[in-house]
Formats: sequence, structure tokens, C-alpha cells
Amino acid sequence: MEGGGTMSEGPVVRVVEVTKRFGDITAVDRVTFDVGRSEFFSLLGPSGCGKTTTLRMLAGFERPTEGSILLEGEDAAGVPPYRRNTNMVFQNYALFPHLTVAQNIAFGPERKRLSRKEVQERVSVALETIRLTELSARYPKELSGGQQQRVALARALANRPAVLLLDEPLGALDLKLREEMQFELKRIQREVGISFVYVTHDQGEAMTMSDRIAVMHAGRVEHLGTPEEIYLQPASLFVAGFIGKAGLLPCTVEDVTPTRLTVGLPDGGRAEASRGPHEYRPGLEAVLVVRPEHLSLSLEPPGAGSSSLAVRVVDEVFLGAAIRYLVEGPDGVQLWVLTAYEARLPAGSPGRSAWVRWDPARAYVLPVERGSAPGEGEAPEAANGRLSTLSSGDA
Amino acid sequence: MMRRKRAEEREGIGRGARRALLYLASPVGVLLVLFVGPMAVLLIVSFEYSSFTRTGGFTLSNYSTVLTDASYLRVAWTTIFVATMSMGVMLLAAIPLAYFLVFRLGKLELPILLLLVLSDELNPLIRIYAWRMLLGREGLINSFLTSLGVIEHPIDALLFSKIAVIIVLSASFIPYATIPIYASLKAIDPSLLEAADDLGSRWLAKFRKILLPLAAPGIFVTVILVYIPLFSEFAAPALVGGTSGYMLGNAVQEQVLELGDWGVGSAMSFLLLVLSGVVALIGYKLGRIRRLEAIT
Repeated sequence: MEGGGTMSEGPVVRVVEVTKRFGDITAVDRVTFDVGRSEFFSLLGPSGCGKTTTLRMLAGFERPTEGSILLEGEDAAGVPPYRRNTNMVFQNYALFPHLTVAQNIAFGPERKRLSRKEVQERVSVALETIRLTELSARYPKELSGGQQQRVALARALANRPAVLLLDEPLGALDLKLREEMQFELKRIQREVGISFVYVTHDQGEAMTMSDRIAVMHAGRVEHLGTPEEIYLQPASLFVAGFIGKAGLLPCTVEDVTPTRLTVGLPDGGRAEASRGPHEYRPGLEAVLVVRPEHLSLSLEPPGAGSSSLAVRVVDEVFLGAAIRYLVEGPDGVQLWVLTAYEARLPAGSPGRSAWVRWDPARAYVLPVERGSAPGEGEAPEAANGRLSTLSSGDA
Repeated sequence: MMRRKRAEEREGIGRGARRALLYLASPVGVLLVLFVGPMAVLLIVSFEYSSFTRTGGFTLSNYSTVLTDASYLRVAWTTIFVATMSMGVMLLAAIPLAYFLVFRLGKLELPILLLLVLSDELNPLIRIYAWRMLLGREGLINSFLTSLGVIEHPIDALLFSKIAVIIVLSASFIPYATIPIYASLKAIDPSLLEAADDLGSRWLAKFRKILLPLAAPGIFVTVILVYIPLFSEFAAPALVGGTSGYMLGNAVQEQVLELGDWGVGSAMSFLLLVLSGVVALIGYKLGRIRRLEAIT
């Protein structure tokens, strides 16, 4: 297993139909994904969605109830954590308080019975990677949160694992430091070329760093794809509501062509939209997914035949470079509109009637799966409320 | 301006210290009267009066009697041996017990902790007599082993021996040995053990490199709390020690209560106190080497 960077072809991690039950509770439900070599892979979802349990199964701290996990092509069932070629960066760092930074980093290599010289070398390489060489003799409690976080990373990397597992490693840092560390993590990942499996509830974090993301909800993977795919063509209402402030308009598919769709809107109007990776047929209940930055707002009625909706301006928020408007359409459907400062509405517009328009190429039609909870992810406010309650951390 | 401010500060500190002293006065007074007072009386007695020399003034004869008599030296060695062995047995039992309480027992943690504490509430005499019933010639252990055919004749060494004293003392002090270690393990973040696992350590490395250093403050407290009282123990050796388990505590008791020689008894007590002080000092030094400060 040692230094398995070149040992076998194919994905470093294969998770096949893995289920984990704790008593009656199904924490992870038939999850399947692969992680490629040198890939930055994120498990994204609200707390309790099963992402941390999935990560702990990769590390060997939990055993799958069903399904199998393959690490570098070998079945990991029954392989204890200390024999797995994976290393973990813990949410609270879990640095050994009685050991110095250098001793913490040396802990893994020493357990592998490497020569003293080799251990020393790994420690200094790891310290250089995290740029903390001058703090090697400090104890963890003498470091700041960000420095502790980097030491935890160095300690895990010093073991040269095939996969690095990260459990919300930036969760305890303040916003500014978190953003810096995102770039730092990405740089280190590129530098060492090790596959990262990164658990987070912060969609911004996942979008910034990941090659691919698995969005998890209630134990299942709802969408597996690149950040762009997940952002532009979310596979479910949950994903659409969880990633960014997507506008979700209930609609009915009316006409299907190989390239375009025509949908009926709640106000009786019609709009054009592009096709997503789904089966479409006339009469299908769906939602139209449009991102706030792809909507434009004006007080003048648009020309006939354009994709638009009559709305009422509810609120405006000054963001600096842009202005965000909250507008309300028919049946109380709420949408966010992000407008450049130059294209803002005249002062005093909240309360007035207006029209939102969009480019059909930027609108995506998501069929509503039967039995999905009504109203789920419908209004941006509902989605926001959920996000804010969910972002309080994953145990 | 600066000077005035400093003077004010000094006065403030002075006032605070005065008030603190006032608060402390009554407990310190109680300690002086009830604890230091009798000890001072014994100290004077140890240098003054001896029923054997019949001298009234200052004398070192009590101490020289204790330090030169070969039989006392033998008793001292027995005491050190029994105390050290009991301490060792207790640590061997207490560390795993504390580990299981903290990390393995889950819901059973509190009930078992409670049982451990309750076990100490039992009258020590009753407990020691119970051990006599277990360890004796006709005791449960001997008759059980005989009936199984493991041994042909009952093992006499089980009772009225050093082993008996070590067994009984270890068992009766186990709550005091376990609880400080339990407390120090309780303060360890369980994810540290997972991290050690994750970085490739098996249980021995995990124990030596992580658990033991982090439990060191608790082990230090245990040694102070248990090892020192063991030196002056007299009930257990008197009841299960026989002649070979005779300890310094018994010698003191005999001198004072049976022979009425307060001088030698007091001298022995003070030598024991000095010995305990040395043990405490060694423990303290060892504890500091283990970087107590770095952890807390």
C-alpha cells in the first residue's frame, strides 16, 4: 500500500452501493462514486446528509452495512484504519497536545518504521508545503487556528496517503481565513498530486476547489458532477435550492423539439428554454431553473414572444458591485435578480410592477419527480432559510 | 501622575491581599489548631521523652532507636515493598479500568463509576474480613481451586502474608487510584485516538505515545493520593498480614497503644512523614518532566 501513487490504474477510491445504518436510521443510502487520481472530490450537503459517515467509512472508522469500498483496487472491508493508505484531516484538527508541531508531523512516518533520516525529511518537506518551518518547535496550543489547521494537513500528508480525507477542515476558521485556506488547499493538492475527498456543507467552498462534487441529501447522492454542471443543470429541486440562489418557476412542458422546449408559465404566458439531460414530453410538470445573474429586470413591458414574467418588486439589496432584487411573480413565487449597478432600477422601485426576462439558452427545465414534497426549493427565501439553518455545522 | 497611580495600585493590591487573608483566617486557624497543633506536640514528644531512657530533656535517642534497630529496618523494607507492589498492582488495574470507563463502556460508564465510588463506602473492617473469608485456608478461593483439582492442598500463602496485604490494599484503594486517571482520560478528545489510529498506530503505540503521556497528570495525582497513605497503613496488615506482613503503621500502633512508648512512636511517625515527603517530591518532579504545563 506504501506510496501507491503509481501502483494501479483506475480510480483510487471506488464506493459501490454503500449503505450504512445505525439502528433504524439509514445514514448513508446506496451511495456510489469513484474518485480519480489527483482528483479533488467533494461530498457536499447539509448536516445529517451522511457525508461525514461516508468519509469515516473511507477512513475505516465505520463499517458499511452493505456495499463495498475499494481503495486502490483492493477491497477495504475488514482493513483497520491503521493499515489503510488513507489519512484524515479532522474537523477539530485532533493535534496531539503533548507533541510539538514537528513531532506531530513525524507521528505517522515513525509508525511506518521509516529511518530517522527519512522521517526528518518528510517532516521538513511537509513543513515547507504548509510554509510553517519556523514554527516546528511550537506546541499546538501556541498556534493560531489557521496554523493548527495547516499542521493537521501536514501531519496527514507526511504519511503520503493515496487519498487524503478532509472533514470540514475549514469549518472552525473565520471567513477571511477560510477563503485564503481554500486557495492554499487547492495549491497544496495540485502540488502533492494526492486525491482529496473533501466533506463540506459550504457550497461556495465546494464550488471553488472541487473537480467534481457529489451533492448529498438524506443519505443519498442527489447529483454527481462538475461544479458547472451542478450549478447550471441541477439534477433535483434539492440541488437547485442548495447550490446558490436559483430561481425556480413552476411550469408545464408544452412543446418539445430536439434543441428547445416551450413551457407554460404560472401567469399563462409561455417561454422558451434549453433542454437538460432528462426525458421531456408535453404535459410534463417541471420547474424552470434560472440563476439570478441570468435574469434581467425592467419596468417596461418586454416585446412579444420573449421569455418573460410579470412581477412585483419586493425588495432591493445593495451589494456593492451589484444590486440584488427580490421580486414576486404569480402565486407568490419569489425570485432573486442580480443586476449590475449600471442597470439598476430607478430609486423607489420596491412595490412597483416590473418584468423579468431571460435568455432561453440560460434557462433549464427540471422535471418534477412524482412524490417530491410540494414547495421544496420553490422560493428563494425558503431555500435561504434552510441553508442558514443547515450551515450551522455537521456533527 | 505615574507614581501616584502606582501607589494606588500597590494600595489596591494590599487591600485585596488583606481581605483574602481575612477570608482565609478561619480555615487556616482550624487547620493550625486541629492539624498542625497535634503534630507539633508529637514532634516535641519525639525529641523529648522516652520510656526507655527515662530522660526528660532534649534527646535524639528515639530516632537513633528507630534507625539502628535491625528489626525496624526490616519492617521499613516490608513497608516499602508492600506499598510499592500495591501501587504497581493498582496502576496496572486502574489505567485499563479508567480507559474502559472513558472510551469503551458507553452507557455503563456512570453506573460502574458509581459502583466504584460506593465500594469505598463499605466499612474497611468489614471489607478486610470479607477478604479473610476469601483468602483463608478454608476460603472460597482455596476450596474452589481444590475442588477443581488445580491444587492438591490449600495455598497457605494467600492469607497472613505480604501477598495478602498487597491484595487487600490494592483492592481497597482502587477507587482512589482510578478516579484521577479517569478524570485525565476524560479530558482527552476521542478524535486524538482516531487520529493516532489513522496515522498507523496499533494499540501499543497508541497507549505509549498518546494515552500515557496525556494521562500523566492523573497518574501523578494517583501516586500522591495512594502511595503515601499506603506507607502508614495499619488495619490491613494487622488483620491479614500475619507476622510477615507487619508494616511501619503497625509498629507505630504497637509502640503507642500497646507499649505506651510515645517517644519512639512519634519518632517513627515523623520518619514516615519525611519518607512520604520525599515520595511526593519525586512524583512532583516526574510529573513536571512529563510536561504537565504543556498539556493544560
